[in-house]
Amino acid sequence: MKKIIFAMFLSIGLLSMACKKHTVNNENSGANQSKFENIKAPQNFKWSTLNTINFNYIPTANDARVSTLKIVDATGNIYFQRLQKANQAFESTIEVPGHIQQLEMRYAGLKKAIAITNGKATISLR
Amino acid sequence: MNQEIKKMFNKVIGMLLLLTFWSHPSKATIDASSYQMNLKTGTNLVTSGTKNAIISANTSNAISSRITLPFNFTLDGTLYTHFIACSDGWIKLGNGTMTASTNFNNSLNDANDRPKIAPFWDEMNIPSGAGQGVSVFTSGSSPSRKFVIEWTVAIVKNGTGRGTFQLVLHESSNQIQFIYNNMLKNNSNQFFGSYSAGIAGAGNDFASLTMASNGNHTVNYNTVNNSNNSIIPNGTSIVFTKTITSNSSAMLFSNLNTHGFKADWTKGNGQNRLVVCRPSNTTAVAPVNFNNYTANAIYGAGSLIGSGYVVLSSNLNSITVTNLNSNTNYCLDVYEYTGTISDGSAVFKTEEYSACQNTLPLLGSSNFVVTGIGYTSVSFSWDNGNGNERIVLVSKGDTASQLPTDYTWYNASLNYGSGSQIGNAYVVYASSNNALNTSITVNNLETGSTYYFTVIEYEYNGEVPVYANHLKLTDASPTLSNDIDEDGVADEEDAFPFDPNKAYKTNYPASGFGTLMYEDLWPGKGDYDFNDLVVDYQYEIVSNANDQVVEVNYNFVTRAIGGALHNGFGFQLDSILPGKITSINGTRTDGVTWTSFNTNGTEAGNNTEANIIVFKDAYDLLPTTGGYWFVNVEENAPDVGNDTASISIKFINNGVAPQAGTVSTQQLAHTKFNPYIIVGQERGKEIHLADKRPSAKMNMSYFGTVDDNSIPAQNRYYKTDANLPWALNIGSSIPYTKEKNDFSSCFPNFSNWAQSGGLNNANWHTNANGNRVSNRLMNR
Repeated sequence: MKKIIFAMFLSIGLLSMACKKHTVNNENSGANQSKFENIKAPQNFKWSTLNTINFNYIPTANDARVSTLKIVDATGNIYFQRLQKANQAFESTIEVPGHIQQLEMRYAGLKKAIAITNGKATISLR
Repeated sequence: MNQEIKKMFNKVIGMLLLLTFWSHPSKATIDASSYQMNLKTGTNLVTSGTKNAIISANTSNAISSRITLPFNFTLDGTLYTHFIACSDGWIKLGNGTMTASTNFNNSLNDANDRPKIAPFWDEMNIPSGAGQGVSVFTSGSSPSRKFVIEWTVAIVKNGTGRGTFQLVLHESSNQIQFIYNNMLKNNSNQFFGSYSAGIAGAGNDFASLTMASNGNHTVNYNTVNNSNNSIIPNGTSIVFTKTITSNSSAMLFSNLNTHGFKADWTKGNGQNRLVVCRPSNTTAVAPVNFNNYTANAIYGAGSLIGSGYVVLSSNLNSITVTNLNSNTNYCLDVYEYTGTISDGSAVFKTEEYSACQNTLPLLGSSNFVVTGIGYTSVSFSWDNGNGNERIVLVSKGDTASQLPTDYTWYNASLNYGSGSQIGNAYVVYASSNNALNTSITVNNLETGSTYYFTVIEYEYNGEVPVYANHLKLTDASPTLSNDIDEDGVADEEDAFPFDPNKAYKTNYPASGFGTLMYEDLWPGKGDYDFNDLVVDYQYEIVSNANDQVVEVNYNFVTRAIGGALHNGFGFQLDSILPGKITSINGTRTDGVTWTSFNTNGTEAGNNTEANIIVFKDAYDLLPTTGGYWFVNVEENAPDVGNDTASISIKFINNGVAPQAGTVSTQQLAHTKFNPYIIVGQERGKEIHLADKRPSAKMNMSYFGTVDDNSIPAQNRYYKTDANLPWALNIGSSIPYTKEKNDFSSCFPNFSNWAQSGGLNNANWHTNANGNRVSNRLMNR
């Protein structure tokens, strides 16, 4: 209620601002006057800029390596890390920004791009 | 006899006639189809061999005794073992006698003394003197001997020219060769006249030569020429060869590999066959009669003909070709021939038989496995590819900067640094005999260093190696390194190298802060400026070598309050039992009256999932100032700053886990972070992110009221019937809206992102051009 009263109180001021041009990233433009409540979002949309990725590590049988398994993006930001036996299966979930297109697995000096399909990724040393 | 019996009778008679025809070999005949004549120039007389005179010097119209051939010779389908020579330049094959009255009267087609072979039949004298006369000798070795009958005579008919010519009978190939040398006149007024040259079969068949002084000698099988008078150019050779009538056929390929194959086929009726291997995208080029070719089954090592190499020259009908490129189509062109290539007597069938085959694609090595790691050594194995052999390079700190060079051999040593160096790598292994033992140990490595291993197949066929660098198998392994705290994590990878209870720090978000934005009028819709409470968040998970969460350190930065309600803020760790937390520090809950806490700091009453109350009232952290109703959402209002609540949750304390057990990083994945606000100090009224479930403290009766369309049974929470949320979670820290600005109007690409379900404009919140309406936003 307090908020509504406040909104009424400022309505004249807001109306006077309605004709003011808005700046889009420091560029003057007629900004999109879309309304949030008019958005038609899919039913299962989570409204998060983060994508969930389930990844599955495929072990290498009889491999003696034990090293830190990392999942990083192109700039080296670490999304996941743990001490991983090369011959041991593992799976987990990470969240990465939706605009991140490429991830990389790093292990024992190896660097391998991770292919992500429908929120799932399989990683292995081969 | 009725019609049926007549028909049957006729059929039987017909079949008997047919069988009779088939059961008798066709009579051999010297004609255009059976004996071909080929000219050869620049031929020297055969000289190797011990000559035996069969007709002495200083005589004429003489005939030799019957002489035994050193090998069986077949003419026109009949085998001969003897002959008689005449001083007038011809011989008669067989055991019979020669008709003396006709031996000087040259007549190739004469019915007498057949079969006869006449390199130069004319009335001739044999002068006196050493080396004159008719002699014989055998050259070469079985089965390719040459029996030579040589005349050195004075040609007296119409002149006194003197010359030497030879009749060469070839063993096995049964070729008849005439070679002429020094067939000169003594002066320009003299001429040769009325001589015959050619062969005459046992019947009426013959091949009569017409000699030409310009070398364009011709043969006629129907009209005889007994009146040749041309001087025969020096070095002329005429070869009669039984014509080859059938090609090889039905080639089958086997033993396919990346660098070759085996081919077997059915022979044609040539004495021998020459096989040329060429890429199938090239054109077959026929070999040249009498040329000398070298054959070698190693592709590229034999003579080049057109675009192919001679890989076989023998009477065999099988060849294994090697040294081919992988995954390439090659053709084998089989040329039947009669004669011996090495002595320049081979006459080829013009038409070849060809068949083509693709070599297998080369496969690289695979399945690299590190089988053992020491402080100075690494053992590893791999599965061989299908190349001939393989070479292994090892480089320190980075992948091999260079790869082997084709046609170059390298020394290998399992002591790193002792083998050949290629760029930054050393050769540690080079297989031999396609060794199956593909497990090696490389020594002399440095402790705590990462080494890269590169296995490369190469083709080798006894000549030079060709490396399949494009199929290299690369892997890596560190040697054992120092681990001061002995937790199993190498010091260089250990964020806490001196603490065995901690190993890694992992931040969420991976870089910087995220931003949570709330509308607080739930279950009613708000004004969608999403600034009723704006909180940035970031946390660091500390885990140990066993992948257990040791502690999580949260930072919550309260930035703005655009609503009048006094909201609290907390979060639930979904599916994490409260008892798995040892302690919580840093919460801002002093004086809270609407809830209580367990001894470990988790909220009491949430028994199955740990809930942590970060602060009880945002206005406790950021009070209003300057007479403004809200905090940091109005452009002209004072900047109140922001507040950071740092909260530490310990799961394992000094290596000791609580009685309820440990939590793995997998169990505490980021999806388990479930932040929410507590509206207006009413504990049962929580607002979570879309589809995040409420805590056990939630008053469930709110769901489905006013504008809320939550359906808990379907795990649908905090959405309107149009799927609109009451909270947003942004993975990075972004500006928030000034009061009363519709969120979507401040981020022009937001609507498209939302309506696409997040597929489009995923970077709508970033500072990229066109993403933000800056004068509707605040960034405090």
